[in-house]
Amino acid sequence: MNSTPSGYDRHIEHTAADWWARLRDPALPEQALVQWSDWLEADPRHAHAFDSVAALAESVGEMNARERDAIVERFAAPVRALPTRRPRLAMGVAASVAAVAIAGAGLFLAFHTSTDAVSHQYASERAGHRDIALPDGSSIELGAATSVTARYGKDERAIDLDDGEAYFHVAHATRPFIVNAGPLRIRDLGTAFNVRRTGDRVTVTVTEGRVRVSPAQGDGNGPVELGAGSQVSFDPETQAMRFLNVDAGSATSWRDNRLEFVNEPLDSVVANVNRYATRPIRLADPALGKLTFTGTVQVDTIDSWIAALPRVFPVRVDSYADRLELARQTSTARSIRPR
Amino acid sequence: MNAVRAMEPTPPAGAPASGTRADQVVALFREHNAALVGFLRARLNSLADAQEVAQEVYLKLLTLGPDTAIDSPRAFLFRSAANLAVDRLRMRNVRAAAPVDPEHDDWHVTPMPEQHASAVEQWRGLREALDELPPKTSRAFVMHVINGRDFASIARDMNLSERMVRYHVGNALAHCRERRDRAESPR
Repeated sequence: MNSTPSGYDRHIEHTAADWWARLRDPALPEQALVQWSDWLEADPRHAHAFDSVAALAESVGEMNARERDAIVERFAAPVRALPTRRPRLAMGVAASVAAVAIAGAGLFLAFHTSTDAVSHQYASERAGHRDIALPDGSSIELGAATSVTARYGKDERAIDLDDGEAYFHVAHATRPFIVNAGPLRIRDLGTAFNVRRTGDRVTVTVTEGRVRVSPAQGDGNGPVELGAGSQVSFDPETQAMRFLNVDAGSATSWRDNRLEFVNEPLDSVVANVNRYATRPIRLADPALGKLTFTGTVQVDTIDSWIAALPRVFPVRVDSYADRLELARQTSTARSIRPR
Repeated sequence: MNAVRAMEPTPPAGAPASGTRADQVVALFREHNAALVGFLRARLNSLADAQEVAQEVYLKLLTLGPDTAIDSPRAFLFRSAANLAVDRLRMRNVRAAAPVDPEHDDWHVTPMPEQHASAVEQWRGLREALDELPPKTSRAFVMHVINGRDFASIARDMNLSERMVRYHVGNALAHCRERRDRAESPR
């Protein structure tokens, strides 16, 4: 199987570019370099994606003088002050496509047209939410540090959830509304639903109406239909789908600044909390990520949640200027990997 | 990845054959060489320099006295690499400070005639990709990758946090990359 869902590849490419930028920082902590090699070695596609972004940066860095001057003049002219505090959405390119309305404040990352679809990428900032009004009357609420790409074509309305969490409210139309979230494909049958994506771990919760969920790759489990109050989670470790009946409100509690988790692996919990945290939380020992957590995190009091963790888990919290680190509590450690 | 294969460690003939330490270093490189070269490649923005410095790191680790305690080999590997990368950048600055003949400023990219057209094409693609980005994003990217300014000075200049500068640079790079990918893949 050499075809992978495009949304997943894009995720890898973005992570690779993000790593390139992080590695450029001479103050990058040593711990991050260990994470870097973990990431690079985790999947051959990571090395491949990193190679291509690094090669691009290298070729840009070697540009000849004339071209360099032209680009600098155009994009980074020395004295011309940037218009500060102008509304972010009023980007020149976006404005040229007046047909598509963009609501809310956030980062407008990319725009391009292809032959049959208009594509827009929207992203929210860390700790920020963002409301997006789509041209067909549907809307998306983005949780923090979430990125989606909307591709509205003739035959379907497709949204790629690249990473993070979003609540979809879908306007009825003949064109189906489809959300691609890594390993899962969610097809709306007239409804509202929430999708949380943490890498390849995806949870879909329906709050109104029905959706059909199927694997992005056409093998294995057939499509399943979910009604209001049901939830399906895809676990990348086991490649299995888990079904639960839930209080639909709890899946969308992030809209009220609460993150609720039921039997969620700690690494996934931390990844979600980090979308809101001012100081990112890292796991010093990846094995800690396998612990499961059930409970609620208030995103405005993340620090006190972390402070309480050693009471439920065999962990210790180490505080650094730029991060918080969860390390195995040595007094209760049974098997520490030799390093 | 070519980089990996080219760097597959084969202990140089003159290296001390202090059994376990040499074995340890070889194993370390075998396991983390791609990450090491990738790290150096980002720091130096040059694959060739990254491979050279990785060799220096390798030699440095091989010639460490047997009494040097290494508690976390992987962290030690990257720390050594970071230090040698700083040396390399310093060396480059010294060279750059030397007077140059402006006629020869383009020496390293003097295009072969048949490559010239694709180079022009390539940079037009980059300009278009940068045009599609928010001004701050493209500005941070150009200042960092083309002007070679560090995050801290760009942050001061643009009145942003260093973290945001880094974020813009990463986003711009991902976007340009995606743009190029799309241009290259046949429809």
